[in-house]
Amino acid sequence: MATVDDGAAANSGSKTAGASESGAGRYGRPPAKCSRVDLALRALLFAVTLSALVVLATSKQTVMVPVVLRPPLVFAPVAAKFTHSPALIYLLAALCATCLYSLLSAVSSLRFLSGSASSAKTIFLLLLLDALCAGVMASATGAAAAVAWLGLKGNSHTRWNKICNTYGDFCRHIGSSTALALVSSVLLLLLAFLNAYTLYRRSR
Amino acid sequence: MESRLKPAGFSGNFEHSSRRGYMGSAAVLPAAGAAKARPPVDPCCVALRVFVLAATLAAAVVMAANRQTTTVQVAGAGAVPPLKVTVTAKWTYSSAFVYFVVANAMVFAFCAGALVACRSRSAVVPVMVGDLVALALLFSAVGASAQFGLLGERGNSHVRWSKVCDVYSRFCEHAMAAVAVSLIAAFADLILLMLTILTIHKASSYY
Repeated sequence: MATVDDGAAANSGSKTAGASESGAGRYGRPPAKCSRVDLALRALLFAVTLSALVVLATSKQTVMVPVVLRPPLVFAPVAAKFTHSPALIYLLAALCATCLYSLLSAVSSLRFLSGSASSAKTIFLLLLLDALCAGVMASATGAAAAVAWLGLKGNSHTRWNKICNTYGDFCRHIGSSTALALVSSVLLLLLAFLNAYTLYRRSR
Repeated sequence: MESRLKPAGFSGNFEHSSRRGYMGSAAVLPAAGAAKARPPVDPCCVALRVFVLAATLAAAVVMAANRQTTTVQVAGAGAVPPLKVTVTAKWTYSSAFVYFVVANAMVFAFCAGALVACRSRSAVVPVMVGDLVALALLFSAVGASAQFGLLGERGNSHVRWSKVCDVYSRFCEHAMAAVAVSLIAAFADLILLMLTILTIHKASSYY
């Protein structure tokens, strides 16, 4: 397998000269360097989505809030959970789906590396699913970022008060989870670029 | 070795004769000489692109022109009579809506550029990369403003954010219409991207 690196790179480069050196040349495996980067990105995606999931799922904070504002102040514990906002539930679902998808696609990427099965069809399917996942993650990130921004800054025009001065810990969890979700959508875009480039290079 | 040094994706000289073998009857071109420089343009892709162009423009304009002024009655305390207050809702009051308008305008500008550039073969990869970025932008903008709209429609009792759409009903309807149109545009962009990928896939599989 040591020669695969050079051989595959040269093979993909000289695709225009010789249409196919062998039977496998037409559906030749993608360059090993590309598929290694692909595998590394998918592993990174899995790590990022998993940590975002954990951070989001553990974001629960209970603070004592005065419920009666007259002199005998009565305090009651009020909890902030991510299930209180539909946007955060959507983020959780999207992160779950992406985490699962990154695991499954890493398996197919591993099969590229071992060279047992690599067809243009697999790359094509992975590319389609990458684009779809990127769309889902982008919308989830947008929704979660909007609610996190409202929590951080509030909106004076609609008289929605900010909550991050009360639930600081909760807000940090939500913010970190949203940032990790943003990283994972960027990773999905990069994966789509990489696969598209691999597929495009074969078409020459 | 020199073929490796050449930038693989961006050189304009494409082998069209090899593709025409597969495309067969689909690639009947009026001028055979022009076929080398001008690839066949898929009318479906152009139609989708024009649709995305129109939809993002409509969404951005509807959202940016969205403005409602109403009078609400503020209950007076004690002897003070109830007070009528004029309040205005504008798209600039919400950061999510500002992002929405900016993202839609950017996708509109990109689509106009891509429509101009779609005749040249060397633009395939840049247009596809731009499509991916436009997809992410549109989806995140739709997510953010739909979330804001949902909060306005229902409020959130846990953090005591009251709903505002009972006051600004027309504003909310317009905003929701803009979000829906933009969502359709995002899905059209996704289909466009998949068609582009399918074209490349066919070109790579059937030599």
